[in-house]
Amino acid sequence: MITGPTTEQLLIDVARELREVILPRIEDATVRVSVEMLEQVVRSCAVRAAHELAWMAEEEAAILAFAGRVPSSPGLVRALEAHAAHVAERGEALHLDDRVARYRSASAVLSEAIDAAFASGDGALAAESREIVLARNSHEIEARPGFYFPGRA
Amino acid sequence: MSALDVAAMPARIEAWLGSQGTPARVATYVLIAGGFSRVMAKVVLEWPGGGTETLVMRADPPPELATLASDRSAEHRLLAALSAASTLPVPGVRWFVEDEAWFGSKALFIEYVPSRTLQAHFDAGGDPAHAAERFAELMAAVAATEPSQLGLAAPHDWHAYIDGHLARWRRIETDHVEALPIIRYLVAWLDRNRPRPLPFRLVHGDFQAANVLVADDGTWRLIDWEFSRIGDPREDLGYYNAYSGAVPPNLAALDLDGYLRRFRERTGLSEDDVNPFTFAWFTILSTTTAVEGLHHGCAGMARGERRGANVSFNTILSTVGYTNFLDAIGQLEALR
Repeated sequence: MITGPTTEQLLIDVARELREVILPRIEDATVRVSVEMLEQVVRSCAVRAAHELAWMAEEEAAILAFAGRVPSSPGLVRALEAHAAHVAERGEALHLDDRVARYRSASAVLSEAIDAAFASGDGALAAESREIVLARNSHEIEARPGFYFPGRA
Repeated sequence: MSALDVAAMPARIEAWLGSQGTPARVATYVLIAGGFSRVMAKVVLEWPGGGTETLVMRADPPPELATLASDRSAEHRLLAALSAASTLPVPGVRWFVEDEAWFGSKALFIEYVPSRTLQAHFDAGGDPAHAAERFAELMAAVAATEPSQLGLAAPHDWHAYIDGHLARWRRIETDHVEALPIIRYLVAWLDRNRPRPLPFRLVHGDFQAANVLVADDGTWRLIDWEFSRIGDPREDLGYYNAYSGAVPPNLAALDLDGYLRRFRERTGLSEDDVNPFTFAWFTILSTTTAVEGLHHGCAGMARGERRGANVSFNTILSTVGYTNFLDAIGQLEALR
């Protein structure tokens, strides 16, 4: 298969074409708003294509480490067991759907770990859960380069 | 059929007008940009006896293109009550069409106001500082409106009302196609840090500069009441802060102390209840409806039930909201 230009490069160029060639020729305001949205979605897809596999793996490692530090709860135990079962069954598959399923399973662990951290009354654990959520959001920020609200003028 | 069908709509509107015994010709039907969740069109009618009338038609998009859910009947009831009360500047409702057979959804026909939005005014170089006081006054006027003035019922208990908000936040995660740890974090944090209860007041629900029309004569109108409700008077303050963080300028942040002081003076609320802490707390809480809709859109697309640019753009918009929430919590933690 052809790997160059990469998916990221292709999508960045599609977004550029939308922005520089197509948008200036659109007179219908409602269509213009749609294309402004699509241009941003395509740019976001470029970033995700380039990085989301690595980000999901990084976040999963941090989540599991955090989950090991919070007091256990029935919900957290269930989520950890489900995640372990998922990893055992499909954990090493590299197709995107498989990696996304693994990440979702890890995310469920994080949700339960956050509840357990707050329920413990330990301010340091609650603060630590915030740091993990912030790290996740930093990837989301990276995945929306040059964000703006379409058509709001 | 929906209001997006620009070829069919003139004849449909003419047929409906005829059925009401008020026949007219639709000279113009043009979609208006600006509303993400509703379909809006400028409609110019020519009356048989001469003369024209310009209205804005407001209806729902087809279900597969819908991004946010709201009820046109409720919006109509509120707009009618606000018009009758005459305490807030809103465009008048000319007609409400409840029968979805006519236009594919319920539809409102609203007074057309030659104007541009306050957001467009800023984008054209208008000075935010000159508008801040008036904007705060308008927001406070909404928050000073008591349910009884509108004939609307208030919730029974403030904590139960907030519990309901938090439960809605939790449902955003449970209804989604995947776990949303950030929602879990926000709910846990909000629950632990509740402010003091206040009496219920009117909440606009989408208070932002793009929903303020600056008429050609300089008067203002507050539009787009689809998310309005009876709730805590600080909800619009918080929502506006979250929204304008992504769509500047933020008129409250220009001089937050001054903005909150004006809000307190106009509403009669105390500094114990309206301050930077409660401002940030409601920044997070008040966006439930919008965040809920964004996630429903994303989940629908993930399940193959929804499509369209608006829906795919939700994947970006929802993360903008997360960033604002986390910023707000960071500011609050710094105040401790």
